[in-house]
Amino acid sequence: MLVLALLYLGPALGQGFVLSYDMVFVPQQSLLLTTFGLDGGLPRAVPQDIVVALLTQVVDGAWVQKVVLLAIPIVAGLGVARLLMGWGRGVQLMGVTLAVWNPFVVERMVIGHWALLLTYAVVPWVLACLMRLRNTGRGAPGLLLWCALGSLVPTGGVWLLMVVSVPLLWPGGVLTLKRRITFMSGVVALNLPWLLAALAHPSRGTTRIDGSEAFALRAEGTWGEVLTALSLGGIWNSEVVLPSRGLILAPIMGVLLIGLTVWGIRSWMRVGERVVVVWGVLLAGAGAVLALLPALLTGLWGLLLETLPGGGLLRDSHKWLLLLAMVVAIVAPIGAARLIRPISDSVNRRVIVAALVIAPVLVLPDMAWGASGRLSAVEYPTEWTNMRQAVAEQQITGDVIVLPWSTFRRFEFNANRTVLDPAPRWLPRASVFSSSLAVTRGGQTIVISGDDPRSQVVNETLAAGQPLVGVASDLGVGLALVERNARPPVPATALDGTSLVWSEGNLELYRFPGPARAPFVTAADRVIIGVNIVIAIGLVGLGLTAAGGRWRSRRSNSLIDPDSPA
Amino acid sequence: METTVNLILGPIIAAIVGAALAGGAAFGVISAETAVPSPVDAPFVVYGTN
Repeated sequence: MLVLALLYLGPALGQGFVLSYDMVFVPQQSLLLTTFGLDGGLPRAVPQDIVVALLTQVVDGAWVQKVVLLAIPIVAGLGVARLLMGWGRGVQLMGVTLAVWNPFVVERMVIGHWALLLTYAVVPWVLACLMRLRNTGRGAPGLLLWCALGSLVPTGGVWLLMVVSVPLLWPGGVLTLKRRITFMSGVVALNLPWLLAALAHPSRGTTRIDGSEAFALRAEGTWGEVLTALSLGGIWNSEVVLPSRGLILAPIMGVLLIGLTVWGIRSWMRVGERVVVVWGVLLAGAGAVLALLPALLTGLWGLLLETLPGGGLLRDSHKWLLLLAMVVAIVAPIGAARLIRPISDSVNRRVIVAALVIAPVLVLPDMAWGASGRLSAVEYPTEWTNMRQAVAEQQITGDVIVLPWSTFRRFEFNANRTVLDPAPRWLPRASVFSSSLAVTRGGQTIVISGDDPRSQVVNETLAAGQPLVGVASDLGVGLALVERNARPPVPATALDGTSLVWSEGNLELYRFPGPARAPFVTAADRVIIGVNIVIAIGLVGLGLTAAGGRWRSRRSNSLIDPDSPA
Repeated sequence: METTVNLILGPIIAAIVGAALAGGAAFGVISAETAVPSPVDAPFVVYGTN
């Protein structure tokens, strides 16, 4: 497993940071109001940013990222191996390879959705905890801790809520109704950080209809969307898709694995807890249908996203293949075992098992070595560290406008790979930055507006050719950070009336003349931050309890509790 | 028994994966070089292409 993880990550584990699309880590991230999803855009990275900000107060962000990158394949692989315990070494190896090495994992990793991949990685552990909980009534701390690790972003939280809901609430098993509701409430509470912040946001999570089309699952070959989805690929962004996904082997492998999965479901049901297994399989299927809906029923999908509060969560439909990818990794090896059982010759059986173990790697060989170099670590130039210090030393109050007015960057130091502007995470103050998303579709560029009201004011001011000094004070902005050499060029009039206070390399810092409006923390903000603190304390307490229980078990030489992530 | 199986399977898997990766590299499917996106004409960097 470690060998597979190292073969896959390769240069991503080198010195520095992997900066790929939405994946941005910095040495130290400040804990700000916007980190909690307040006073800005929709809380898409909550509580992910809170956790990273807290961790980077004590550990360099580069190390945090390395641990995350390695944890995803290892946790996923170990989880599947544990679920397949008793099926034999070959079946376990098949499961591990499928869990670590598949199109869903690599496409999501290149686009930078590492927190969603943590959700993916914890799914087998959550399933194991649910089985244990229904059968024995034990394993609740493990369930909550795994769910916490997998609920760092809203989509991950929603996925896990769905996964645990029916197995927790369905009658049967040893749990009383009171305990079922208590555990379910605990999993719901883990989602409060982003849920409360989203409810406090004026847009309530709806999205423009353009967004639904732009982020729809796309076919990776002439075989269309359905076969692409069944082979676990189809991310909307063709730029992150590996060349091997265009080969005919990709859909063939997909069909083979889905066939083995269908073949293996009955066998899994016989050994696993029936409610957990049936619900997991049904949910995986429903996720696949949801993923395909925008490609097959575009109009209806767009309407759904525009009108449904929180509809923005559904927009990137490839995410809904998450459970299918994990169910295939768990059940396809069982199906293969069932299929080859009648073969009497042990050598033939071993050869088939070996072929199935390595098949995922052979069909997707360019996932190796950091997805063929797309995931490579780089160092930030020293001017970024000095910029953070320079902003911290400024006496003027107010937030920072980040220019040029564009959401993504291509830096030379990052080999011109597309990445979300890292400045908002570097800055020790809150910032106003472009959050609109430009996506090329059918030869045309669609721009999906951001959802931060302050960004919209800056956008309109720049579009009108007006200097920012006219709106800076009302927006609570005191400084402007300019990244020279980044596109598009900053309009000549934009910084009229400001004064340059610091510059180094490609970075410049400007100061606005007027006093900025002081940051305004509402009562709702305080409540949401309070809820975050209560949840954090609760999780630490739960972790200590689980760790303590484990330690006591070891001391008494009893069985090790495998459900605890501690 | 398990040890015997692993001693056989391990080298076979390693050899096949290694050969596949080498073959992929020879045909340019796999590259250790950093992937560089194609230039985009838009005045700003786009998130991606659907």
